[in-house]
Amino acid sequence: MLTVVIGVLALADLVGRRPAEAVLTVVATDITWPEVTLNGDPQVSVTAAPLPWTITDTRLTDAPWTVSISATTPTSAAGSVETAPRTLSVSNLSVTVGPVTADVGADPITNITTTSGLTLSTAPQTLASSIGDNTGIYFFTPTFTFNLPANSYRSNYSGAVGSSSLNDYSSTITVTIA
Amino acid sequence: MTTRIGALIIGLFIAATPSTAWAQSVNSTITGGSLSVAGTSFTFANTELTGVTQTISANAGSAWSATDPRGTGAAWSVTVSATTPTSAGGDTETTPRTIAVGNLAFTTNTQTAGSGSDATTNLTGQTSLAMSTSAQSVLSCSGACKGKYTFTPTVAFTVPANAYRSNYATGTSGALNPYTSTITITIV
Repeated sequence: MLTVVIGVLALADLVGRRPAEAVLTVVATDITWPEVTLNGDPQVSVTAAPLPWTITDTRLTDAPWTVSISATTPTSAAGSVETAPRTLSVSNLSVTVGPVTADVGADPITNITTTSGLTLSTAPQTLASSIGDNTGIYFFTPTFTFNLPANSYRSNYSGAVGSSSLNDYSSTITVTIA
Repeated sequence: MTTRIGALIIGLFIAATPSTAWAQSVNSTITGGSLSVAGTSFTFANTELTGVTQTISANAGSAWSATDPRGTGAAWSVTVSATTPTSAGGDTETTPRTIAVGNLAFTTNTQTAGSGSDATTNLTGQTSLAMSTSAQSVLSCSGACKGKYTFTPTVAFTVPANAYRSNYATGTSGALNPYTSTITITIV
């Protein structure tokens, strides 16, 4: 009977310190750059994520984790008149993780490594990683840089040239954690 | 009882999600700018008439630039026209002296693409194009010349053997009124 009591106390303590669901997740947000007008010179557009991205590790294993990122080729979709999709190399996108903060009760960020100025690719690359012992929730606000070559095509018009909306250059960023 | 508690903890670990993926989009609107061209003037060395036809040349003071930030890849052309080279009348030599505008010849020279600009493959310049008061193309792009290009043109000025010297500004000595021509550059 005494053993049972101790066990129950241990479980209650566990639930109180950690979220009830054991997960390893990363949550990202959309990125939108300010409109850029071509000027004949290379340009650099920098923007930060509007909201922090979140890494959650409540597996209670203290196992390592790695956040990876990949992106599709930035493309301005064809319109009804301008029918050729326009693309820019995905390598024109880069990301800097910036400072990572630990949520209340999370392990310190000591074991977390981040990247700065990572040139994106269609293949996953490590954005941030933990060598272990990083249970909890962590926040960071990545900064994205979009390098626009001087010879970029402008965004396609969705319909009539000059009088319809422009099709943004769009890239899908996939962030994984494992 | 102790055994059952242990089993519960193991079950919790197995339920843990091993990994997740999150896909988001990044978006940017890129708009086109306007064609532009910039140039600098030519200054010829003072020349003394010798009784025979002479040709003098001058390079632009600095590189000219043609910029296509429209982001369309459409063709464009830089044109120039020139007014008739004229030495203005002075207070004594009151007759303006002129030399035919066709005695000015324009050579575009080598074009250099700016960083990140399309290659110069589709650009065509001119060599010794006799200038006119009408606009003529001196650098044309057949398409896909997006970005900025620089070139330092040369103008050759053929001074006929029978040319009038420059008029004196005042009296018959002192400062001379140089032959001048206004060159107009456009890009379309």
